[in-house]
Amino acid sequence: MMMLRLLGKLPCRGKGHSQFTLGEKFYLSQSLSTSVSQPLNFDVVVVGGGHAGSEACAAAARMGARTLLITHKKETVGVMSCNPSFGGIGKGHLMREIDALDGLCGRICDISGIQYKVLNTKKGPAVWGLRAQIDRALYKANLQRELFHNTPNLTVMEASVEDLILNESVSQNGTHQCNGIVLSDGSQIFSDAVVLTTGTFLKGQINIGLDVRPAGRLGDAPAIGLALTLERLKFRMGRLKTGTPPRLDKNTINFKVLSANGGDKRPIPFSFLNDSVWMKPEDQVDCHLTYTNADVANIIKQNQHVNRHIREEVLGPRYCPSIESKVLRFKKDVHLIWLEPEGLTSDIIYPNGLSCTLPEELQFKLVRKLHGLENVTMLSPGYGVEYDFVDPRELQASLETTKIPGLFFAGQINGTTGYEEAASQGIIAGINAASKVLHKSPLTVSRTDGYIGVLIDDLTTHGTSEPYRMFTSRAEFRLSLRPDNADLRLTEKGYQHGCVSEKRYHHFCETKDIMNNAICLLKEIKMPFNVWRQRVPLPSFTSQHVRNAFQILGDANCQCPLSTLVTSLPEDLGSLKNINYTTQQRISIEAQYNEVVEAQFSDMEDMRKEESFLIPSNVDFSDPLLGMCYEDQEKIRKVHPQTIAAASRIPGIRPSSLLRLMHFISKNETKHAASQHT
Amino acid sequence: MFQKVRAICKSFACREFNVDLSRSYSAVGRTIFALSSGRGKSGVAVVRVSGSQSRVVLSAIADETCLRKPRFAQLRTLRDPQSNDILDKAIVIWFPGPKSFTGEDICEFQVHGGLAVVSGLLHALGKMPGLYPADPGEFSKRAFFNGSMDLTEAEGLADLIHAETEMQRKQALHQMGGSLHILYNRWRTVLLQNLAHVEAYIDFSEDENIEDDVMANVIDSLRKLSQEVETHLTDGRRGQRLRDGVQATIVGEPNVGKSSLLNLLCDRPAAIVTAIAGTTRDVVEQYINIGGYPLSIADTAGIRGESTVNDVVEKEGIARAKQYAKSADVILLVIDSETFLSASKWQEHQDILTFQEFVKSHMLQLGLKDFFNGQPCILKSNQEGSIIDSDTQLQCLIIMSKIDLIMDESIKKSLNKLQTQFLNVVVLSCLNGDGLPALLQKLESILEYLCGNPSQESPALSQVRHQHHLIDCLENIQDYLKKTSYLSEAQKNASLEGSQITDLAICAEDLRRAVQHLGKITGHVTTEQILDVIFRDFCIGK
Repeated sequence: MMMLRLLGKLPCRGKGHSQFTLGEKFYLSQSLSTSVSQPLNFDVVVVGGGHAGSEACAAAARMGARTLLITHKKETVGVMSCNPSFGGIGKGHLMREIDALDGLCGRICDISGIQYKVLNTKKGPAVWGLRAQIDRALYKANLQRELFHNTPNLTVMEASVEDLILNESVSQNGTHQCNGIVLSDGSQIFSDAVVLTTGTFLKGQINIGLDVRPAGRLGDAPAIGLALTLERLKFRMGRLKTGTPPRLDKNTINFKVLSANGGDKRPIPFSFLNDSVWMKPEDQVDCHLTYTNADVANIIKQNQHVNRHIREEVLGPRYCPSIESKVLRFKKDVHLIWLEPEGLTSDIIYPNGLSCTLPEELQFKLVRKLHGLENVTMLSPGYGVEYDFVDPRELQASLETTKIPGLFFAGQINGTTGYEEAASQGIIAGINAASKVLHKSPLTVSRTDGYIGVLIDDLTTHGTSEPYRMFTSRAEFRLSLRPDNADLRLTEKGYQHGCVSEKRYHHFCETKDIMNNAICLLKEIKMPFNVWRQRVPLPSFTSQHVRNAFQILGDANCQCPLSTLVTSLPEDLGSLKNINYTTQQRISIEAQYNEVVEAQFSDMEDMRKEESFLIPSNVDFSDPLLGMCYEDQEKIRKVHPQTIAAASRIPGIRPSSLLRLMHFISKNETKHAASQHT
Repeated sequence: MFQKVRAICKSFACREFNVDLSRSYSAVGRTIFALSSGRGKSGVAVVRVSGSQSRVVLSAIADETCLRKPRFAQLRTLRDPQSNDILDKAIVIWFPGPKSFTGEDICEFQVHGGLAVVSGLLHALGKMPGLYPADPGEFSKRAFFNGSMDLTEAEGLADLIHAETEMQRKQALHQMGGSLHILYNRWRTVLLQNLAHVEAYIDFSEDENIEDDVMANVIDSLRKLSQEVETHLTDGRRGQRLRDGVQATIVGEPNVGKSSLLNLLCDRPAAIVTAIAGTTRDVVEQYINIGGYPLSIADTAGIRGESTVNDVVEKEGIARAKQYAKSADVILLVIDSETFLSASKWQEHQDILTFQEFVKSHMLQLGLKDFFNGQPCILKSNQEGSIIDSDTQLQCLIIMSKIDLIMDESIKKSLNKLQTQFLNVVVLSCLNGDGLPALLQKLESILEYLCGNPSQESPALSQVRHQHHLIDCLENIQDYLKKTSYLSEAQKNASLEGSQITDLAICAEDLRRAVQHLGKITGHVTTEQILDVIFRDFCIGK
């Protein structure tokens, strides 16, 4: 193992030519076969070092599995290949949940950000969007340090994976079990579980203007071999496209004429472990805002014929369209463009909202039409990427494929977009790959537990026809699944499962204890409302109702922060004075949501019940004893939902079909149990 | 260290407040009610209530003494707890959980089968706090989850599930009638759009240029909607009268004898019959009784191609005809025998395939194909054994009319043979009544199926449920307006902005619930539908 690790650290010579990578891979595997006498053997192999792969390998290693991360280029592990920011509305929720399961991205962002800003502060804590502009170089360096040096059980290797090792398993007749991977030089690495996180690299293709070249990312070769393997295994595949904007030179932009947008005065860290972020609030860097105009629109309208990406039918995201789609679909010329710095020391500006695929010289003309960018230098053109993805309905809630036990998928390969969405799947796939090896039951997150559950359930139940992104509107229990309480929802569960460190768990328990004590104390103080008004400054409305302090704190009409309560009732609540700002805020949020969350309890309970009613993978939906109508058989067979909850969300399914199915399953279970008994 | 941590965690497990959301809330669950017996000519109707409130319900509607003898049929006078009006004298049975069908407390009312009694009881239940009309299949589902499966193993479970779920499936479209259906669907569209705009404002307004007036527009639009719903609820008689009985609609080309058929069935000239094509413009509806089953039969305007119709009134008539046909239980498709003969050049011994082909293309021509779930042919050959089409909710009789005009006896004879070859074909003369006994007999067997099978709910009872959902929907819209009214003010008056922060996530929850309630009438609203509106109306894309 040591040998491998040393080899992995070899400096990367050269940039992004497949020939070179091949050479290096050859060199690597040769040294491996000579230096290691036995064939290579790991518990878990993670393929791909993006945001899904990073979380997956770290989680598997945290669980105690001997884990190998294989990446094309070690240098690009943790690279942020698109926008220089993390988080946002919905995405910030995911990051908090990843952190609650002891994942990496939240912690790394707390030491790599250059501007921290919470979105939606005026709309209620349930939809606050924690976001930060990130220094690309810092993020990569911090993440690599964590993975390469601070993660026990993890080995990192540079290689290209061409195929999977499949064994016919004894237990399940006819199906295969994934037992490792084959590298491009033909050498094999054995493992009990494999996590594929190949992002946009499956048959990846880059489009600029009419120019098309195979690549997973600008300068990186695509993965053709693996794509063929998945096709051979008859995974249902689809194709998606996405894009990235041109990059601009900071020194050639006239920022003086643009409005600036700064960070929060009191940055809120992503990780529950941190009370503050690494940088001083006043050192934060600004973003700037500019707009497109009629000139920009004209360039786009007049040049559709040289824009292959736009002409093609492959589905792109509706919510993150290229500037071309925006101009062509919405008949207006003014669209926002955010100029985002890529780092503290970087001269690169990322014009967010300007993703485009025009030929390079037209892109150059286009960016110079923007206000403040009249003399800008374009460092690299924007481009479109097309890639294969696997229909996520091939996956179980654990992110293991139904077809090939031992094979897990996470990230863009499943049709999602975004670092946070990828990382969420990565951590779940990593945990469950390790669980499989360690003979533990899989860890699944319910829709009632978190956005991660919503994400995975949406994907595995409905599939997707466009790159899937998280929005808070997707979560039916939005008021319960808040960024502030992600640890209360998931850390205990993660700890029981073995993916949360003692350190974090201890920290979590302390916080939880403080909150519980404070809330119990607040609830004990009860008096009629008119008495409250004599003791605490409250707006004047008359009521004889007896209210407790927790209710006063949570009542939007009272406008009474915890600090006011504490100073007004020092003899009762004085002990709460020492609670830190973050926890005080959390207590207030709990109070604010107490009533509305309780109102959802029975709905949540119903969903949990339906989620816990499992549909065995071998159910024959056409069984005459089941008697399901043909139409519903078709619908349900396509998804093969794993729970009754998932089945009930199949559009148009009849309630009677669900009841028949439930009845059929329970009857078979009883029969099965009886036959085993005799 | 580990032990210590666990100890800390355990120490507050007993506290009143438990932040990990893991406590059991089963006691909080909703109490549901529904009519558990089907419609039709039953003497007794069974209404069930399940959930923690059942005890309260039984005490309020009957009296507490019923609770003393569980699982024992007792005769009681039922009263509306609010008005104290007598509802019925009926059998009540108290099944305390877990020894009940659902595993929860259940009370069962076996009332007289009349519509007034049943709807009165359901109304009274609906007014009680914490009681909700059951969703399709909810009773059985609770039985599964509460582990009282063994009770549901009883034979007839399939029928029960059928009764419980299919009962409400088609009925939304079915008995609501055209205008109500359109109205509810319009409300749904308005509500969906407003919810989508609020969701967009939550998810995207910080980075995207979503116009600032979005929230104010939502408030304006919802105010109008809430007024409309309120007016509708307070004037129960407005809108189309709910129709009771099995719905049959007569359709066909102009001048094939549809109105004559209606008059023949009613045994009186209910509709004007002339030789002029397009005499019937509006829908003419009659109530008749066939074999003791209630039948509402509607005569409609003849359907012909859009291009040939210039008359606005006739166009509207055709649209109504199709609307009626869509919501019917039974379609009586009238085809002029001569049309068939000339179209197919049919001879005496020709293959029956020709007839099938003809019916198929004729239905396509009339634009009726979609009504039958795209089934290739609706004809039932006599090998199939039953006239009933259990795959679709729609039964169809094909009536070959004007047989009296066929002079060639051998052709007439072989036409008549179709009646035996196909179960749902009748060869009829409205003029001399030939074929009427066959028509009545075939209609009766369809009615027997529709009424005996509890697959449909009486419209008066659907109305009770609709009203319940509409009231809930309205309340939620009003809650939203109450909580956000300041928003529109703030936008008009910039100085107010920021002075108060309303939790929009909490407000949006009211709208989400409003949509859910309306969805119980008009069909479930999915996240995808909301996202579709967002991306249609706003340019999202940083």
